[in-house]
Amino acid sequence: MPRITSARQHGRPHRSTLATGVALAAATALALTACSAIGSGDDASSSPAETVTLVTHDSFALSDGLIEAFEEESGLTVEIVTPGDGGSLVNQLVLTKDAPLGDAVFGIDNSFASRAIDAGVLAPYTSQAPAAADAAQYAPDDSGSLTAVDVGDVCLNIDDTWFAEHGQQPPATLEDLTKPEYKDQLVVTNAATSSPGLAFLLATIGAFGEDGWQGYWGQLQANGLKVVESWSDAYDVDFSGGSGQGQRPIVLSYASSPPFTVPEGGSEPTTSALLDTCFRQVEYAGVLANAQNPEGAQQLVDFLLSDEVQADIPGSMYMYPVSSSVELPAEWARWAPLSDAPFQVAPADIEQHRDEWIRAWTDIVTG
Amino acid sequence: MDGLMIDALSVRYGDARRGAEVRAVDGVTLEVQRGEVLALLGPSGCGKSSVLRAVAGLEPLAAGSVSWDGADLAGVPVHRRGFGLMFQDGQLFPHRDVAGNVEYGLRMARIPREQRRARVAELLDVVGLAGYGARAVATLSGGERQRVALARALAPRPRLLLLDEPLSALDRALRERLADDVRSALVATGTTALFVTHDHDEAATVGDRVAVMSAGRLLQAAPPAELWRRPASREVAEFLGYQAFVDLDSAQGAAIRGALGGDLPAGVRVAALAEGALVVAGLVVGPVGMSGSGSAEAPVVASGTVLATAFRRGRTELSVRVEGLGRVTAAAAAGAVAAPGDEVALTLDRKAVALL
Amino acid sequence: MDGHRHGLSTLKPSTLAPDADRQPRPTPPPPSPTRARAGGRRPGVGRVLAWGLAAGIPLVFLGVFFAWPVATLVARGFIADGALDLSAFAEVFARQRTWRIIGLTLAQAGIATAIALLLGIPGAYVLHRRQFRGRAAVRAFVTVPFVLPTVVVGVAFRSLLATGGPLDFLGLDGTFAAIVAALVFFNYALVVRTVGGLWEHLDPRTEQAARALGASPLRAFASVTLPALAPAIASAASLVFLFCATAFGAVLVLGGTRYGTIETEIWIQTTQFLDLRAASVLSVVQLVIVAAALAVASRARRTRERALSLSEPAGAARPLRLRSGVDAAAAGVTALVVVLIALPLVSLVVRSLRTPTGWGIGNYTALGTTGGSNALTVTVWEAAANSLRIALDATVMAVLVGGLVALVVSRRPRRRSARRAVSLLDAVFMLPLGVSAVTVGFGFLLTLDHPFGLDVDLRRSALLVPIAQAVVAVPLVVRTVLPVLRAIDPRLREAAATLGAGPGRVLASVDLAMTVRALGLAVGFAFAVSLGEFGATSFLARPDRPTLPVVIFKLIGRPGAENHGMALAASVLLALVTAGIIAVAERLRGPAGGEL
Repeated sequence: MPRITSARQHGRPHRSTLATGVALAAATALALTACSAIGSGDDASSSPAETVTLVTHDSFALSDGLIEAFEEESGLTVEIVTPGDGGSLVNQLVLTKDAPLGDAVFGIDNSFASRAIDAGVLAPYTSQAPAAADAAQYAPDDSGSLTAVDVGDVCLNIDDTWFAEHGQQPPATLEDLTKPEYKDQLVVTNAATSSPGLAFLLATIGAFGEDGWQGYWGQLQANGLKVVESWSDAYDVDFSGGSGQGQRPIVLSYASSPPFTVPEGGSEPTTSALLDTCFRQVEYAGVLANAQNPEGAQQLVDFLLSDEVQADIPGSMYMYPVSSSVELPAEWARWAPLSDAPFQVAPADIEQHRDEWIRAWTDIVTG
Repeated sequence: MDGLMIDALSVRYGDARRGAEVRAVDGVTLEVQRGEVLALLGPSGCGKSSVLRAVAGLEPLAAGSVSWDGADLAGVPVHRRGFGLMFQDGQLFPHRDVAGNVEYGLRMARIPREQRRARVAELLDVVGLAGYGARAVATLSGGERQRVALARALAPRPRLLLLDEPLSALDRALRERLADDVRSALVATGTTALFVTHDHDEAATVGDRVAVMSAGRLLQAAPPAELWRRPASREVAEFLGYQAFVDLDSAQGAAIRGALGGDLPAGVRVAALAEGALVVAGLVVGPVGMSGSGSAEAPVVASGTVLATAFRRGRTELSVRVEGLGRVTAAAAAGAVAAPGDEVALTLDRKAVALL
Repeated sequence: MDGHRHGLSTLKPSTLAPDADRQPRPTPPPPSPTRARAGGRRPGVGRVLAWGLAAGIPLVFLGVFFAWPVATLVARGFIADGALDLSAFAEVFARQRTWRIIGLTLAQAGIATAIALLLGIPGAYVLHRRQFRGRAAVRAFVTVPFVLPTVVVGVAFRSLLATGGPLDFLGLDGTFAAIVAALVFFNYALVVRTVGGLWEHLDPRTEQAARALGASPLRAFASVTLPALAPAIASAASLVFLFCATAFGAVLVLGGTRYGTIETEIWIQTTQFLDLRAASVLSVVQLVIVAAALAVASRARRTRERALSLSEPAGAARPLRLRSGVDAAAAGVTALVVVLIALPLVSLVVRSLRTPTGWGIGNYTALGTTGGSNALTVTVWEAAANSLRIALDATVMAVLVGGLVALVVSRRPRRRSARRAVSLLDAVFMLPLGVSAVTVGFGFLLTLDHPFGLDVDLRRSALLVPIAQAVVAVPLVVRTVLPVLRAIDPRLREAAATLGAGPGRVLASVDLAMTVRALGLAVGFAFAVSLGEFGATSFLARPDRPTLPVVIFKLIGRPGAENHGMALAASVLLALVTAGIIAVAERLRGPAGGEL
């Protein structure tokens, strides 16, 4: 029988393999985490002077090459953070105003502009870019905190095909929608949680006044109004036109939506916007207070007002540029004009009453 | 000294501050010589397993010390003591096959693979499971599992093997056979062992010496023959299975003293009778006569009423009520016949009597 | 046998022990957990250090990436002008809306839990107690909804129920019933797995004994099997209730303005109204509800783990026999549920194959593009790659942290205080299941700007996404691994130690070796959860590296049939990847009885 010496008598040096094991596992995990996916080239570590961070909503997009050209020209590296949409974006800026998420912001709209200004989120900046003069007409106040970059109309859209097939006259105004022939035909989005929903609520407040809008919504509700959570729910699921397979021919969307419903091989859109039901949304850019790179932020704002960006906005973000000197795409000019007389509510009024209006609205549509 | 020395060992459970402390082991002093097999015998809950766990290093000592070859083991962690441990239910690693279990300790000791393989084969042979190496442990019977557990514990050549009721989960026939096998294996490998059991047969079969524990204290430690011949106390005797105790100075005891004959050692006051110490010699018929009677070597020492009869291991056993002794189990002499209610005459089997 | 003991049997009484002691005795329980160290040797410094590290890493992780952010945000709602101000409670509770939301939350969670149990128990029977061809596939299939992204489910459900959808005639769109249906859809698998996991281990002979004593099959089930399953049922019920009460995405999509949960209300109050007072009060209310559910779950779990550890797996399941009434009924219910689960998924697949130019795979080939009018910054395939990489990171973190938690919590220390700490740790790591993603996300914004004086704005770090996902996945990892670790007899570790294995070797050769399958399942779960996570990710994902759910959400939000079709195709892709991972994990799981 082979003689087997027990290693225990020799005894290995005493050390805790457990401790080593845990430490090793932790180190491995950290190393793996750091190198595997995303840690590489983390911009947070580069020096703030070279980087400028744009805080925006997640619909922000520009064609390839635009930002790269700006970077080349300015010597800045652009970083983009998209923490949320509409109210959520502004609220996050308010929460983080002492240590902002970036240097510049784009995407604050006129329904939340006053909140951002009043909370001191922004540092005044007056752009000298070519389009700045055009932008001035949309300024929410004279503090110079926010600079308009693009505008759009939130309007009801109708499925022309549906109305043609059903031999029915489509509605034209907000008042029409309370008529019995349009019962169960309208779908809109939640004013409390979606940006177009809030815009449409503001349109009705602009149309019927602070005293009348609640009654109007009561009538809508009685006429089979449907409220869904988001634009995509309304447009893709409930709307009969567009890609939707739903049953409702009237939907809350944008003045810019119809061109997207030109069928493959067709020459005309199958939907159109009701230009007498619109609320004008204005999207602003601004320099954030306490920014680490305020100069870079100013350059960014100028960049957004440059002709290149302004011309790119319709195709990339489905909004109309503020600049009067750039040309709209042909199909926009043809099928997606802006409303001549959108409804309006003063930003200060919006700021003062917004939450109260939304709560009252929620009570009405909740029934 | 050589081997294991347990000195004034105490083990406590519970929280002293909360007044919920249990003294599981209370000042036990015991030694196991190298090469010796010591059986630690006691009823459930007497603290014998705690002694074992304390020796293995699995239980902290409240007082006292455990040393090997004179070196105190305080501060030596379990895996460096070189003590093997075998549990009642084997505790085989379910994710390893038989060979994987047996070689576990050898792997820990970093024994080269070839030697490991040879050692595993050798050990499986010792426990009678040659060729079982590739079997999954789930496919083994209870007895086979315990054999594997024994092989596993023996494989790394522990300085001391601790066996915690290794056979008590098995049925009786298997247990008795395995007790012999364990003994053979320990002797064959020259292993020093501390064998915990509540079964005195097993203790006597396996142990060179038997130590009796009760309620956390050590009552007596002696070789089996001596232990059974001269239990140190009635408590020990009771635990060893002695069933009835007769004061030799009493009227009832006089007959027994007579039957024991010869000179009794000084100081002996009580005779302890094991099961079967009284043997049914025959029926008592009528108030005076007896159909069966004793002889000069085995005089009738008492009479009693048969309560029940049983047949065990080919022998008739009677449960008999004897005046002054209570209910005892009597063996029936060959050919003796009795039914419940019969009055029987009883003789004494001297070999089943201990003196206290 | 050596000779020196000859004659012994004649010296000692032959049959001494009382008969009772001769019977084979049941296995004594492992050393009582109430034993406490009463003095003597202190554990070594290395040991203390190791366990300290094992408990410390998860605690620091959870502290920095969960407790601190959440506490900071909630505190904002209760601190006015530097002083504690609890008047928010009175104010928020005075609102009718608050009570409506709380009522709705409890009602939909309660009803959904009841239905999930009613459907899930027959499912557990069929899928864990009976054997039939394709069982593994069905098991994996019903698990898919549990890890399916809410974005996908919301779209799938609405397309099914909305006007014009295949189930339009039910009139369920925008109703309470639709929300409950979606919640049952999500959580059915949880009941099947939890109850089935215990059922596999029940000894069928107990029920057979009851039948032999004259009980009808139903009676035997009600009087024998059901009580034995009670801990698992209670455990499943409390977890399902927890998930339902904190449901977010599905409720938001399906509930519209009319229905909501505390979770959606916190989201609205925080993101839309910035009413942190209301959000904080609601967070506290939610925490109370969640803590209650967790307490029930933990009680049930303890009984269940005890039950599990006492029995071996009850051998191979019997084949399913449709001629037996019980089997037929259970199989019928289960088949119906499988169809109901399949409906939204099938509808999703069918719609993904519909392109503006007719049927085809155009939507799938479009996944290599950035969508119509450059809707995306990256192609869907790139987003999928991002998702996989992020999920890998999140999984490593979740399995490491969750594994350590499970390891620490599985121990029964001798000291009473340490035992308390261990069970507290167990409870604390379940809390991420009950705190809203928006609270965590907004909390990150407040706390992770150059934390601890580090020169990093963690809020913008790419690491934050996998970290947030890991926080959500850790409880699932713990619940998968812990029961298996707890079922390991402590004496097995003692046996290993006496055979010369040091603490590290014991850990590797006993604990790790025996949990490796459960760990595999945990990896699968963590990976799937991370892949589908949307709430926190949508706040934190960087636009240049979006994940698959973020891309899907973005595509849905863009106009154009092309983008919509791509969104559906990407949803199918996500569902397939998730299902594949779960199927692999399921194979890995083997017979080990994890809770999920």
